[in-house]
Amino acid sequence: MEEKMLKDSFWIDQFLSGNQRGFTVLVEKYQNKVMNIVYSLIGQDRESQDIAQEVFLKVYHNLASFKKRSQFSTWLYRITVNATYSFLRKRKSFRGNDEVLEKITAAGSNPQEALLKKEKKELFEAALAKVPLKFKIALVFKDVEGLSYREIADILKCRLGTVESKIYRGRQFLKKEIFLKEEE
Amino acid sequence: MKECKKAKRLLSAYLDGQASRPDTLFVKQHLEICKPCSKEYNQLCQVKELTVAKKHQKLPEGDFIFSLENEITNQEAKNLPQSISLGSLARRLIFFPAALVILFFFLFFTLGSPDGYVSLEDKILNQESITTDTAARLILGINS
Repeated sequence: MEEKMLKDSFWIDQFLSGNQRGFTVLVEKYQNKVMNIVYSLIGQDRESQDIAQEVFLKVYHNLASFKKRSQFSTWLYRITVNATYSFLRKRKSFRGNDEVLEKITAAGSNPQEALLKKEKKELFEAALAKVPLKFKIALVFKDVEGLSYREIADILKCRLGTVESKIYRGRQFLKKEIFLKEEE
Repeated sequence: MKECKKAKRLLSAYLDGQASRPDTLFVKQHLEICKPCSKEYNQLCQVKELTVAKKHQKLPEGDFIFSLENEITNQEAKNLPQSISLGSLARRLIFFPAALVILFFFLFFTLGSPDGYVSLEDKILNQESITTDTAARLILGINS
């Protein structure tokens, strides 16, 4: 059986009983997911890598305290969200990815047309960078990572209705960013 | 208008397949007859498509784990007891005898002298003659 097919709890037990390979497998399995979430939230490559590293360091030092009442991924994503918030608190001047924000501003009066062209993904990321973080987190977990409302509620420790509302408002925000000028 | 308001509120959950069965049915029927809501739904679909298709960031293969393991090793090295240098060894060796001497003097002066005991200092102050034998007895704490 391939290593990655084994359950997370197996590798957690391996690590806790002294087998370092257990931790390495967990990192290999989740590193890109964590990186992707952090990047989607802050839009900065180098800082995202630093935060991802900080997340796994916390996992390494605190895995013994993981109670297995939730899935490992839920616990890991919660740490990811907290580390991202902590990073943003330290950098109060953070204003998203300025480079891509400039691109959407320079896109002209018809952003939808521009979106359909070569740069549409970059422009979309610029629009995403403008979405308030509290909505963006739920949106990223839903659409980028494909989690269910229930899983997102567990990660964010909130009610299902709150998750639904955050996703709704996040999409409304994105929709306005992308389609507003066209409607004008 | 009231139906549009309700439908718009449910569009996002409907899009994700997370709306309840009655709500799903309601939105489906409403979208068939309402052009503005249908337009909004299409826009939301495009927004979702773009989010799902968003470029996924990938960490360089192997590099991340390598630097992570290095960081863990560094952190653990910091937490290990430092290798004992000659200076710190000397400080440790001096500390314990010094502490014992301080403790001895502390006990000696705080426990006080037994009844009838005359200190060497008192003998000198009283101008008593002090022989070598008396001095030795006094120093050794043998009452004369």
